Amino acid sequence: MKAILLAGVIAAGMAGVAQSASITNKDAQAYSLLMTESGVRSELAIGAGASVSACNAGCFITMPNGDHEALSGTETIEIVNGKATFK
Amino acid sequence: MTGYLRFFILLAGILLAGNAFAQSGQGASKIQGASKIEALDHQLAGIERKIAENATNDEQLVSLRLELEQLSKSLIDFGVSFRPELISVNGRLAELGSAPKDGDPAEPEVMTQERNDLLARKVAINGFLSNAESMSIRINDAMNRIGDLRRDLFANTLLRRTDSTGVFNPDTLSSFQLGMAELERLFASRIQFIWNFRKSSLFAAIGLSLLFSFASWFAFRRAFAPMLFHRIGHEASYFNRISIAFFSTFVPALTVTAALGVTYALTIYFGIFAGQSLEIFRSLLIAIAGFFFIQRLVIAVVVPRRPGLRLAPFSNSASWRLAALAIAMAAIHIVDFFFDRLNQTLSAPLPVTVAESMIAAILIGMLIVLIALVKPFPDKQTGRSRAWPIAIRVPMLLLAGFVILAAALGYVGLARFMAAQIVITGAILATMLIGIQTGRAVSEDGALAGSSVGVRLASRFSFSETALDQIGVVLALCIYLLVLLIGAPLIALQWGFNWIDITSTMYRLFTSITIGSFSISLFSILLGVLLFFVGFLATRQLQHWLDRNVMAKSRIDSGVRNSIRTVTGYAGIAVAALVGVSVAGFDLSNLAIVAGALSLGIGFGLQNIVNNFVSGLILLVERPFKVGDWVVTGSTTGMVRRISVRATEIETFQKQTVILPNSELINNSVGNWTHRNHLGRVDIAVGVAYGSDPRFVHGLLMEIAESDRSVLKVPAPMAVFVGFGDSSLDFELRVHIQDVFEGLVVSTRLRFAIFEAFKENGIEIPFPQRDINIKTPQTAPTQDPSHPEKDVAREPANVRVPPEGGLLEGNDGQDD
Repeated sequence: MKAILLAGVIAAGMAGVAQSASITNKDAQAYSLLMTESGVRSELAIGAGASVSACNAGCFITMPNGDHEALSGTETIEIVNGKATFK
Repeated sequence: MTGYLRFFILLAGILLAGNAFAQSGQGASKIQGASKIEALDHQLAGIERKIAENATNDEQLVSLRLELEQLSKSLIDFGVSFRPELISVNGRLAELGSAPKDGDPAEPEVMTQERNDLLARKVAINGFLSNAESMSIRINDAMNRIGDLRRDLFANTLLRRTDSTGVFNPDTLSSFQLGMAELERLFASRIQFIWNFRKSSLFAAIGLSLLFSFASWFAFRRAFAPMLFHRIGHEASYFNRISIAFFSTFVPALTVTAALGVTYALTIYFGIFAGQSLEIFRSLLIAIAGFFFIQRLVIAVVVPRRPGLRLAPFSNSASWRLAALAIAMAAIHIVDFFFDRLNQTLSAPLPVTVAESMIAAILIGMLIVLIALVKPFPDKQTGRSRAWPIAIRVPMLLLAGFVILAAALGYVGLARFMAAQIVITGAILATMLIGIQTGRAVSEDGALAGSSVGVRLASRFSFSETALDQIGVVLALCIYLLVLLIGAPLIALQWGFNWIDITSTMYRLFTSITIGSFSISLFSILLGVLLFFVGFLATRQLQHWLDRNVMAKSRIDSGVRNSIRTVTGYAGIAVAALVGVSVAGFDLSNLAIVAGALSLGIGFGLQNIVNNFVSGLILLVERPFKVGDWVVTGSTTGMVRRISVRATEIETFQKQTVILPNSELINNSVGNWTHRNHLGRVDIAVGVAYGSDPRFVHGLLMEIAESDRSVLKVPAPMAVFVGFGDSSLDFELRVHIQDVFEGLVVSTRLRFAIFEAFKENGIEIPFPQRDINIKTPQTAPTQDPSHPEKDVAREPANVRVPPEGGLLEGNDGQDD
């Protein structure tokens, strides 16, 4: 019993550590989002219908419709009509 | 009327006020956002300024970098804090819809106003967020600047050369003496001050710290007495040695550190020391604590007095020498550290600091050379000792030589840096080695089984010896992994990488290793394996629980229990495997395509296996036989020992185990002697000689049957007159017995009884009978007219010999 509990706790801990924000593009066109992660600018390309994991340590993203978003790394976002909706 | 008017005015007033309040509320949050970002900007500007000011102060630069990291986090939090507002603004804008185009009917003023307000707010928020974004870029630039500054600083320190003549001259000595005098003066005046004005505080401080020290010393002794050296016998296992080393190092070190920390706190509280004297006092305490810890550590590892407790197989003399050298090196290091602090606090002139560093570096270098020259491993065959392996000895000598050379040539910074790195990296590597030794000790056969942890595991989960050994191997792997995970970052830290870089690299290493378009995540795989293991253990526990609590209470027989247990096991493992695989991140859809292509070939190949497996399941459910039954299949007869996935084990009565594939048991007929009950029938065939009285024989047989204790009354025994045999009257005695396994015993007993009864009554059991007719020739002419060539007299006698195995028909056997 104790072994199972210990193993379960370790598993939960590990699952908690491994995290990043996931962005899903529900539109029919691909987007290239401007992302600033830890002060470094980059472009994040998401194909139509694709899903990416990004932004482990917090970042700023500019959505296709011009909105700025700040992510801390635990969010799940869907892009619909260029707008971001948080799940 | 006036009443209504008054009421109406009041209501209007309240509404207006509320509106104004809401407006100002919004305005307030607008201002709030603005003020927050202004504050953050102010902070960042301050840090940037301080970076420029402290370009030569490494410590300050490190702390500024930490501040920058904090600021970066605050920026993200600031950005995230706008999200709920942004969501609600967007939602409200969606509700309001877009502005009416030209030609469409105009909308109410309120709506337009609201929309404009919302849009303005959104613009403001976006402005804040983009502001925060650009600030995060500034932060990154500032961090890069700090990195560059530190690198330059480091390179300068390392490569700065001081001419030795500039250092070793009488001026330096007099500076040093001056410095010492100043120190004396500082402390003398301080002590006098305390003695005159703070005597009581001094005594209180001394008394309390002594009290705390003694109390913690006694507590430590009481709590960890069993772990201390002198209680353990001579030859201890590696586990014991490690735990002793651990407890005899860390615990006293912690105690001492705590005691010194309390002393320091009391000193501050009572105001005994202040300013420079306080800093010097603090450095002294740190030096004492550090020395104590290292001395304990070294002794715990080489243990000069007790060879049986050493963590490495050093010879006795080598242990003493190594201990002395290592402690001396630690002492010099710490004295060097203390003097360094002293020089900093007292702002000693440069030549003094350089001289001190030079001396320390050269001494440490020489000590490293001495350590490298020790021959620590005893060679039992030759009696002499072996030196360190070349891979260790040569680098040590080279590095030590380098240190001494650098110090002598004046590159003092470099020498100090190298010396510090050698010592600390060496210590970390040595600790890692000990960790690996522990892992190896755990993975040895029987090691885990012998330890107390192993004994507890064995009793709790009923693991066998081999299972414990396997667990030992797994544990050893975990220990190796742990050693690597702790040791590598420590060394990286030591060599100047910062914590964030290390953690992010390790994080990336674990979560996604991308090979082409495949992304493997070690974390996920480990998690999958762990979950499978958990599921496996849980299934075992479930099986035990079901067996013990549910099925033992209800009176299901053991065959069904076995079946249910096996099926639960299969189901549990299947579920655990699925969970493990899906968590590990394997995309089973890819596998499906491959599996589809291979399925034809695999299907043909696995045909029989699947056949057997399904047959096994059917056997478990239908239970034509269960474990413990006596079955007969084809040519095999024996007891069923195990019904498993593919095959069933049958143990013949000659103790041979026949492993039959289940499909054979399903497809062919299987005879089960103990299917519904254990009843059996014994048939004993006996023939009596012609001339015996059949009815008498029948009665005799029945009597024998009825008098036997194992013969059942229901079904009643039967003596059957089966026929007129060639040599005998054939009877058969058929009796039923309770336990078919007794069959042989009962038939033997009955046969004995029949034989004795027949003998007593004079009934013969005949051998196979033959009639022989001999025709003798007459004296008449011996020629047969019809056959002139034959001589009758010479014809053989008419002896009728029966064909093989047959009896002559007809005549009774003549007996005497």
